[in-house]
Amino acid sequence: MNCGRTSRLISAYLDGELPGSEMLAIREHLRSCQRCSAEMEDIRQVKAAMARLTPVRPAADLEARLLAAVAQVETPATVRFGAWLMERLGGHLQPAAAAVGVCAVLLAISVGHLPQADHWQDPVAERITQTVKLPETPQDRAIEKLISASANPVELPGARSAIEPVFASPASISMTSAILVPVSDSAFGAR
Amino acid sequence: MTVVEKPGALTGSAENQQRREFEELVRRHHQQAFNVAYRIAGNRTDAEDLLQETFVRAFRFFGNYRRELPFESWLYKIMSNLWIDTLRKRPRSGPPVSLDQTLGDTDQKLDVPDPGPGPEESLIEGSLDARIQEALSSLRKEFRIAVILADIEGMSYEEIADVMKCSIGTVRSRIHRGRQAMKKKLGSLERFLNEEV
Repeated sequence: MNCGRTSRLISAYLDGELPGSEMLAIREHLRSCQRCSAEMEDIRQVKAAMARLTPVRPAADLEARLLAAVAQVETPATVRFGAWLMERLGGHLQPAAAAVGVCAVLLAISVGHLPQADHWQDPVAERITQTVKLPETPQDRAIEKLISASANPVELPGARSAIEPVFASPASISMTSAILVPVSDSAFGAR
Repeated sequence: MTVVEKPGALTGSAENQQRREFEELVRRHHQQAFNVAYRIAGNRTDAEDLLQETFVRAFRFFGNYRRELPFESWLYKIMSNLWIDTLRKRPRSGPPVSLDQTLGDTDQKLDVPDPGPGPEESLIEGSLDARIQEALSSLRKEFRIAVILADIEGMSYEEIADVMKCSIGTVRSRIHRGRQAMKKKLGSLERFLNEEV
């Protein structure tokens, strides 16, 4: 362990955020290096000072103001829709079936088949929302092959008209692969 | 008074349940979250605005919150994104202007609000706290958030990496560089640390 590496890892060493072997190597280096030991002491002081900061208490009325601000916010659209669907279907279907229905509609919204709410465009929210990647199926690969061979199109009687509408966006290809299964089974059966 | 909901009022009931759950989370976490917001923003006014906007957005996207994860981590993820976003959108300040300079042909002078803590706050929070806050506020936003989450919230590097959407190596570097910059700004802390005991 040299001085440069020790210097870069001193904070992680003090936080106990290194594997055991590196912790030991740094400890060994610090025993024999005064410069690195002095640097570690500096960082340790900053860490100690931060730990002793007095927690800042909010104003007495902040809780009420926060609750009032939240009360002004409309219930999230997804929650409203789920509740509405449960109300409409709850009496007739089992809850599991209703949940499947909610998931299907949400999935459709996520690939742009239905209009999106304005706040879905929020840049902060975009970073919070996680992207779901569906597993690639043999049908997906076959469709990709067809796209790449577009310069020399392959004639697929009966399948072409069913596939064409979903070529609009790559995201919709894997989402609709399940719908295409009957067509693609016959179309790619010879593969 | 006991409120009995009508069987047909399922929509209202589900929405109310969601609201009640969120309000409980606001009550439980707002003090700790305010402390973090204060350290990030550097003053009460901005901290209150940041916290309010954080909770409003959190409620708007409450459907995305995975209940098995700590609520604070999710909240701080929103807060740090929001703060970084706010800073990015904030207009760059123009060239420095003297506060004694008069405005145009009049004798009127610039009236600039002080974004830092008022005299009362400084007195209450003590000199070491004020100096540390000043050093924190001088850090780059990514360094500041990483140091605050590590040293005030006691989060692990893995948790911070999740909040800041970066690798553990980046977290390690941000925390270390942040502390180094603070040390440079604060100078010797030994005297202060001994005095405050």
